[in-house]
Amino acid sequence: MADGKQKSAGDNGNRVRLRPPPVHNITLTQLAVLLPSFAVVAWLFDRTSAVSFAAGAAVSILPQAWFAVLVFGFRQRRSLLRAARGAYAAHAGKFLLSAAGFALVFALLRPVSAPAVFAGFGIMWTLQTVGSARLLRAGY
Amino acid sequence: MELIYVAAAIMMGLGGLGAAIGVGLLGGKLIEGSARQPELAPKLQTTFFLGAGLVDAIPIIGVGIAMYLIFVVAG
Repeated sequence: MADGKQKSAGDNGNRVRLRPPPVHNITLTQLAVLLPSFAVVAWLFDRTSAVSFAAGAAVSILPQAWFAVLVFGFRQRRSLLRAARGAYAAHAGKFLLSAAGFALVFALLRPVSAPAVFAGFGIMWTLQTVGSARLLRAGY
Repeated sequence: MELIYVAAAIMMGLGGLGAAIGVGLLGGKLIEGSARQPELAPKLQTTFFLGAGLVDAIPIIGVGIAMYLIFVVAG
């Protein structure tokens, strides 16, 4: 720097305007797909499968929403450094929330349909993959 | 029956190992790219986070199957 002082690697020294991707749209799409899917599974199969499907979907949606809030949320928009700090908590939290969610579903939900749980999880994960790919293609 | 717990542990461990290697490679390339072209850092970081969110899914599915083995099959 011109005056010989160096800024520390704090927030003030690393302030960059980030354009956060609209990841909340992915969560809203997942919720919009979940409701009719729940009704279709209940209509085609039975109530147990529908509840298991919804539980599997919730195990996918909630940790992803947590991840998105911590990484791309309001407080992280102002600084690359704060976004990088939030990334560790986001990854760890997402993994722990998913593990706890699966444990709760399989430990407490009786009766449970495991294929329906994984189908719900897989469909919501597919939606997230497609949504992320669209965001990347849109230039985020 | 104990083999189920061993299988669940291996499933979670290897899944986590693979994801850790993948996220490590992603992070390394992010730092490399940001050092070469700092003006691209915000865009690279967004791409990194979107990609890392997808890499996480594989060990999470492994954890889900492991929880099924532990709580339903063995329980």
